[in-house]
Amino acid sequence: MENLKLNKEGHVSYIKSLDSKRQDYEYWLSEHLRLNGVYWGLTALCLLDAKDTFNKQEIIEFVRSCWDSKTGGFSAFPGHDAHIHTTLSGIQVLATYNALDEVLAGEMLKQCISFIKDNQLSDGSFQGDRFGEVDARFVYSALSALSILGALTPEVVDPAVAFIKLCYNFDGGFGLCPGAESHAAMSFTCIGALAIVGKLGELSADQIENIGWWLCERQVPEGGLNGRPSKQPDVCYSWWVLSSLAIIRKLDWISFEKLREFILKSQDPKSGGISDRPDNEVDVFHTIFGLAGLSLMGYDGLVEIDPVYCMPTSVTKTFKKYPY
Amino acid sequence: MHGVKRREWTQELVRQKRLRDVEKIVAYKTLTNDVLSAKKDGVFTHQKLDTTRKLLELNPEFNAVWNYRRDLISALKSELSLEFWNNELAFTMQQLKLFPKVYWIWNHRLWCLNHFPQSPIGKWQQELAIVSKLLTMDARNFHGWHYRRVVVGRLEQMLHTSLNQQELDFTTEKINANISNFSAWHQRANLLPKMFEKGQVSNEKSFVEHEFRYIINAMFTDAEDQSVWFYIKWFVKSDIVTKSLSPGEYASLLQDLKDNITLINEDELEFSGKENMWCLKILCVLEELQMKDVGRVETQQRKILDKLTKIDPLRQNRYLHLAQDSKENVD
Amino acid sequence: MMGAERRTSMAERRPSTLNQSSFSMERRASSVVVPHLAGIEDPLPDTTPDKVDVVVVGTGLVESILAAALAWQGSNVLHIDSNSYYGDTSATLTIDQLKQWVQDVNQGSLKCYENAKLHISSVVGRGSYKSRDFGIDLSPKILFAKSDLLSILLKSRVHQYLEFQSLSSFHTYENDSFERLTNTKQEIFTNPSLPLMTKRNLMKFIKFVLDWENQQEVWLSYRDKPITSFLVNKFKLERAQVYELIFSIGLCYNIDVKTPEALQRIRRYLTSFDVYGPFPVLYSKYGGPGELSQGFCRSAAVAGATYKLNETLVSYDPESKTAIFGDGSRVTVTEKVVAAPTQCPKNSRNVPEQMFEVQRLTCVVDKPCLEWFGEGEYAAVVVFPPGSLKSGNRQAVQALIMGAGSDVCPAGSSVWYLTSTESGPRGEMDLDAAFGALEESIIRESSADIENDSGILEVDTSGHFTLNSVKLGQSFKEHISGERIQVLVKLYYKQLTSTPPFEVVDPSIFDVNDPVDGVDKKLVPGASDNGVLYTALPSAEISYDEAVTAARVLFQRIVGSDDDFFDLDFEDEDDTDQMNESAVVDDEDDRMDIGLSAEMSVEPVEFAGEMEI
Repeated sequence: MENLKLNKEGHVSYIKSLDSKRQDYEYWLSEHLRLNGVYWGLTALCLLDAKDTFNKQEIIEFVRSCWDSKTGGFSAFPGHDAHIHTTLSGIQVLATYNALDEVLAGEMLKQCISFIKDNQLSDGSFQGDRFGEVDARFVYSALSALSILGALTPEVVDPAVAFIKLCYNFDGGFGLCPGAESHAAMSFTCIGALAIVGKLGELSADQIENIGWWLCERQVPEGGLNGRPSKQPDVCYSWWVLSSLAIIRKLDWISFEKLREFILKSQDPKSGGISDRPDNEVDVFHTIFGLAGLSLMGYDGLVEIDPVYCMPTSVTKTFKKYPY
Repeated sequence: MHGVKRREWTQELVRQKRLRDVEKIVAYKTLTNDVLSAKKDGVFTHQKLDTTRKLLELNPEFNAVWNYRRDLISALKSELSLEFWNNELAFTMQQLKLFPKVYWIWNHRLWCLNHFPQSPIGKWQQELAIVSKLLTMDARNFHGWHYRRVVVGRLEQMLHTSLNQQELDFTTEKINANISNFSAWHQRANLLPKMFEKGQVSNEKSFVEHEFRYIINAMFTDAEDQSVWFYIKWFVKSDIVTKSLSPGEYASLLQDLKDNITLINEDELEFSGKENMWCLKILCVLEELQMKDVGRVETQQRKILDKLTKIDPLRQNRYLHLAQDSKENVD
Repeated sequence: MMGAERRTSMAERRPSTLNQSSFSMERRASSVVVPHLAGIEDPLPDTTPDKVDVVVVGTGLVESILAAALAWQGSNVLHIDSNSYYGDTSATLTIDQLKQWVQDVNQGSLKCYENAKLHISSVVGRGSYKSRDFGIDLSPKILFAKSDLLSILLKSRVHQYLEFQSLSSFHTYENDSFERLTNTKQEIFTNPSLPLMTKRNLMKFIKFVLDWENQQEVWLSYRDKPITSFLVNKFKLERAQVYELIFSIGLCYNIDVKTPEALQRIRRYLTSFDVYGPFPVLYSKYGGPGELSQGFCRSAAVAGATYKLNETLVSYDPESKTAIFGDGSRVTVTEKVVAAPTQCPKNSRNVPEQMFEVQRLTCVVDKPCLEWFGEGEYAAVVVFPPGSLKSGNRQAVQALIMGAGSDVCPAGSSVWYLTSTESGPRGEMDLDAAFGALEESIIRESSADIENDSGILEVDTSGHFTLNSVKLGQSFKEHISGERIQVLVKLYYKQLTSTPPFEVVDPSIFDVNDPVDGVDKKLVPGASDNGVLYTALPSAEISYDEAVTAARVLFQRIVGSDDDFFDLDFEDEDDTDQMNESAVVDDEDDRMDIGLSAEMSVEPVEFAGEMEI
């Protein structure tokens, strides 16, 4: 389809409009995702080369207001509870604005690092908060956040790597914990985490081949990617699968052309934004991961994204690489 | 939104919706402010149990409120009756039926069971029955399978006994109901090595032979289905097979499998004029195994990969890469 | 008239406040708007209106669907029936009503029926068997889960008046035994007696047929050939599978059915499977088409139609547009008079020729017949392919078995509806032979000495299955029991119809009184029914598939277009509110994000097992 084009202006104005929906009930229902939403929106704008669309100072103030001084992490919205995942989003937003030192310094920084580290359990995994939910996603969040803060240590990294290796499955995918079924999003969290701490070498060549095979089988005839066998394609897997393939250097094991077509068909041609699949309601989550997928495939003049951190490479190249 | 059709909103529709939203927003904000300020002030009263529940009914994804609710329950624990705990479990079930994919609800349910007064074993057994029911209704629910493993783990701990056989039977039941249920095949591939290792399989060789017939049967039933092929790919390389069979038996199992796959592939070619890509993919694996483990020299691998680049163009670069690899190996 | 005695009406069983918990999604339930139930619970009017748009005569299923469609479209409808009950040719009758009905047929006062013979055991009518414990359908039907009628039932919300039960057991009678169908992936996979290649061929065919129209390359060369040759040559299927597919799944009537037509029928079954659960068809409790007719009448009444029972059409004059009724009242008709051929006025001359026969044998027997039903079900279909009966039947005989759980007969009994399209005395012979086969089979299967069948299919602890013996049924071929079953009710009759066997109504029959090129057809002098549009009577088709088509064609004739045919939207404002949370049935994957449990949408996914319409 030659007339399929990336609706850049549409996406910028869609993201811009997100904070003007206070008259909608749904806006209020989504407060618990606000900080994540800011990260997704900001990263999408960066990819579209429209970083200035958001008011930097306002955003930084918002991130600051999400600080949960009791626990020492960021929550999704002022008054909510800190969680490993929202803490990562907060740090990602600050790093993107190069405002880490300005907001997260001194005592606060120390508190934040120990909040993350204290949530590591004896088997190397991380819980999301004090209530004990364990999931490979939180291992990624923790390692990524500590990496951006330059605070990784072997005491944290080694057991975490051991845990991730246990999440690897016979089919070439990763599960959310040892024994859990393979899921494409978990491939990203596990492989991405290993890449962040420079431990991809812990996977054997055979395993890498297997991972690549499992990942490329996610592409369905419609062009989109699914998260597990016999499931429907969804734009967000463009990111989970592609980033993983990129990290293990097998990005070209799927058909770019077909995937690109699928993502572009999932755009709202009128008001911008991308949905999970063609003709569905758009949201910022699928917008960023659709754009990030296109960026990894090098299409449409999008700004380059780092497959490991899911942030613009211009930002991540300043991060200190572990081992320090 | 996941799975939500995009609709056209006319100005008039938007106006009407916003009008209706005004009241809902006020109610939601009032409730949220009430809960969050009580949370901040460390209020732990029965009344807040009611308000948090109301709020969670409106928004089950509000994790801070689940957290506060757990703190409330912990603080009031000595005053809470057994009935409260049962109601709490019923509440999470009600929410799970509406929102089966919200992590926080699953999580809260688990927390309730773990903190249930005396954490009685009967509750956990009941929980296993509930999750079985749930997986009947939604056989590939990711959360359900994960939750089941957690519950089983807990039961094994309490009963000091392995439930592997029972869990294996459960996977059989699920696979028989739908051989495309990869969640069940996955679980099967996880259980079998454990059972072999712990000596829970009485006649290993005969088990492997039975399992072999089972997968052949599945392959003939649906040769397009990824789930079965991924399982086969694991099975032929797994320790449970290689350690249960003599080298000669293993070699003939591989050949037998290959013959059957070839039969299916030829049938497909005759019927549709095209070869079956999954047959070819697995034949490729078998060729390699035969070379490596059985010491065969000649291989069809290159020919197969050539065909695959044509009939499975989405993944052609992988086949080109494999072809390159095998060439290097030969050289 | 037996007006005093009747079965509980739908309105009595289903009060206006419906139990909404039977709905699939509780969340949705709050937004369900039940049309206010007026109309037929109210006393029927004493007088007829002076002027209406359409008069519909007869409350059979097609007429009732039509009346509802017209009423919701905005037409002013007067709907009458000469009987004291709803349903006409689709009625569900008690034993006493049935007695009267047979009498009426044999006296010639009920048109389009012939040769009615009724035997009623002396135990019925007293003791444990009361007349109104029975609900006998005059034209039994099953409802495919994916069909026009079902979508109209949902759209019009008429389904809320009804209670549905599932039917998953379809048996083919072969070699003196019943074979339960192997037609789902699950059954094919777990059936240990099917050879591997047969499994593959069967699955291949099942996958193909779901999308057969788009795969011309596979079937085009068989377009004019019988389906048998297609299944044997192209899919290498064996006779047993071929018969199952043609007769039990396709519910075709003989072996010569052309390939495309049979594929269509086979697909109907397969696409219906798993729509609401692991079964292809449903039927309504308390009686089939009788219940549905009542439901549509009720819906029409809600939309403003006027109902009168015990009312006949005496004549219609297309010049003055006046209809005269049995009670002497007259009505000006602005659009059309539509009548069932069974209720045509005296001195009618325009009723289309009813050239096809449907022969039926309906029995109530004192066996529950649970052996034939699926788990938790109360009905089954048994098909006798051509040549399978002692009578050497040329056409298939279809039997619909309804157990007491479907509330059409007393506990411990069941109703057997047998249907044949064979004409003349052969039809009756085929029906008798099929009845005999059913009888022998149920005596055999329900005998205590063969209850233990555990040795046949063995499942070992790891779930691997092996077959140790031949299939149930065949192994007991030699078993002959002296026992006979007790027949409580036995009814033969022949119904005439203008619709060819097992086919959908032919629209041309509606042309009879229609203007040709804008010019009215010549009026038949002295006829009482000039200008009356006659409906088609039910054919032998076991599904409801023809009913909607027939009603739609008539609707189009009357209104001029079918655009407004059940163009209903009962959704209230609550639905439009669900901007982000609208419940969409979707097998979508769990969203897993590093965005965590992220995303604004709450994503209710149906717990499929709770689905109930």
